[in-house]
Amino acid sequence: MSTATELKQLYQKGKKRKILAMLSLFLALLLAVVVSVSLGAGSPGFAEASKVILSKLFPFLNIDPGPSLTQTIILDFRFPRIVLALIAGAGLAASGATMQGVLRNPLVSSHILGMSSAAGFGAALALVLGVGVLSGFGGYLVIVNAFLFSLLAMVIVYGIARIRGITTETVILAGVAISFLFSALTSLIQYIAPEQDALHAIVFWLMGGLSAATWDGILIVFPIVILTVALMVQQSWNINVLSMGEEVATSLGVSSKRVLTITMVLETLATASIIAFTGVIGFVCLISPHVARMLIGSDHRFLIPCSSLIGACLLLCSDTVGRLVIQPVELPVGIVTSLLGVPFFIYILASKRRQNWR
Amino acid sequence: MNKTTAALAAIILVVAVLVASYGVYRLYVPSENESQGEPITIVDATGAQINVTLPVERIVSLNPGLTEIICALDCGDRIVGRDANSVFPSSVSEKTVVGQNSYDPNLEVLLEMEPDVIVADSMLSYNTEALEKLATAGLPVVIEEPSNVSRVKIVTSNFGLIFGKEEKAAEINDYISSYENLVNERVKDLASSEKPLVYIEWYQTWQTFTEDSIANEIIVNAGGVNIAGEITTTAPVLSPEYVVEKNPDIIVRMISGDLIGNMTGFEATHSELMNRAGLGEVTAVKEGKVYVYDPIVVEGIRYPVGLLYWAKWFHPSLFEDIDPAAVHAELIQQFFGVTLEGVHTYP
Repeated sequence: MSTATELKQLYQKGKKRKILAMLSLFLALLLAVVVSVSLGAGSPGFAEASKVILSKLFPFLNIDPGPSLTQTIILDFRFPRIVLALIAGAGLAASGATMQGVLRNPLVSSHILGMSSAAGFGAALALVLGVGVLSGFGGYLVIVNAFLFSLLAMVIVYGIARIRGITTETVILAGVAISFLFSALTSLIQYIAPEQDALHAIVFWLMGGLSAATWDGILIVFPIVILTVALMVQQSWNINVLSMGEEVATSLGVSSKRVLTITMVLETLATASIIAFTGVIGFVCLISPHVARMLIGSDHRFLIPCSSLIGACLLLCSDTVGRLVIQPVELPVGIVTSLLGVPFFIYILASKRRQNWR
Repeated sequence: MNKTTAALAAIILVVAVLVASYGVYRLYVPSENESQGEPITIVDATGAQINVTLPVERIVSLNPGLTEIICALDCGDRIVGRDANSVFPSSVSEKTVVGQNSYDPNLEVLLEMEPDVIVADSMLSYNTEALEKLATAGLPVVIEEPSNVSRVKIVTSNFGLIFGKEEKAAEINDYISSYENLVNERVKDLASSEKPLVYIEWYQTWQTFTEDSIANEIIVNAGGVNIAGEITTTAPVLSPEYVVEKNPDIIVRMISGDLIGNMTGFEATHSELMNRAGLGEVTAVKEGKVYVYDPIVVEGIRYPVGLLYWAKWFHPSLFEDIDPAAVHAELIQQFFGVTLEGVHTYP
């Protein structure tokens, strides 16, 4: 048998293993959804929840959806929240995987690149200028502002990187600087905020959470996340080449500047649209790619979708725990994500056998 | 060195030490209050005993609720410094601002006002540095909770005592008691089945007041039952499923600070609740029993107004003859001599 065939077989075997891993992740995610939809502070359990959902999905089956209260609990509260957790987790994790690959740095996340703090500042500004913080018409101002400011942060980071000549280090450093700038501005706003209420609202926003999930929001975020993640996956060959180093990429005819620009735009759109709706949710975008890398290696064609699955699973499980642990009181998902995720992540770090970052 | 020189040197040394000690003593130990006024001891909300020397002519107030009580005691002209939020009655808004709120007074400006007493809310308790410096300066600091309904009358009496306005304080407290008793008389014999279930929401969507909160106390006093009355977490966000399943008969919503004062804000807050996804199932929304309030009506000296509003929302038939808005106007006229302005509840 020739070496080429052996190699090919080895590759095929690895590929099968990766697909199998992703398939099991997908099944785990489905299970998590089923469990989440069956649990809550309200009384509807698995049977009631499935009846409601099946009757909506397949109206021709004539399943009795049960009392309208049950329908409200499942369709207006639990389900949108689960869907938003899935979308947000998947989008944040995919963005993290992409940027960690392109910038060849394991620490990169939307926090490091300044987007979270810029979004926080945008939200804080809207909350303090207060065009009806808590009532219907003001909600969108906060979302739009958060989105615009995190776009602005990326534009500034990109601009600085262009002036200095785009290297991964300048992008990261510029991101860190911008992150500090916007954190300082948010602190300034909190310090001089005239209204106690606005301060309160800012603190809540910065904690992040999925309790504000509505179908309207999902209708906006879902297409953006699906599209950007698909385009990230489309870029995965280029990211693979780029992660071997700039010289290698250039010699293979891949323009590192071009790939960096494209992926940054995608990452920004995905992350900004998510955190505009959920507030700052850290950590998912940082650890999901690492867990994925340990599971299936660093081929971005698999890594990006696999990170998405892990991110979705992590955020959904955290949020469900947050909903249940001291019900009927809810914990913000950001707290739970870190409390559950960090020990898990440290365990994986400590027990990993392979070196994934050179 | 002969004996005489030695003795002289010793005397000079002793005198020098005495003079220096006296100087140090004068510099480091706060001087006794020069005036010959009589000291009075009161106990504030923290349980501290505070000695105040009478007469009190110069007051710094670091809380709008306390400022209102001082003005109701006809001592508004004695206020020499205030927090930024103390703007009612309008005469106090000319006074010097010595801090944003109770937590963070500017000590230099505050000391320059030479107050005889400083009154603040419990936020000042957290600023131990400022408290220590005020104690070093020998200034009596009274820390109170003006929004705590069970303290309002105590605060008024205490203030009456140290400002020499005992009669006025008694008049205010009688006024508050008369409405407290009126409400209590009418709701005390209600069976628990006759008390409506109330969901109260504040700052954040689904955020509520629980067990030990002041709002919970008012709900109980007004003859209602708080759906979160047995939860111990302070100011938690509730699971919406829980709220909907509890099916409250009444929803009471505190308006956000930036919307206070104009009708549009009240209408928007009200309509957000009436149309919020999932709430349509709830009796309160179905029957249109959703009310928005300005927190000022349940705070400090205006507490009877809030109590009447809530009691009437909870039991419209029992309080048909009561017009809380008229009581509010009457209270403002009687104790501040001004006409009530603006919107405070909706609908």
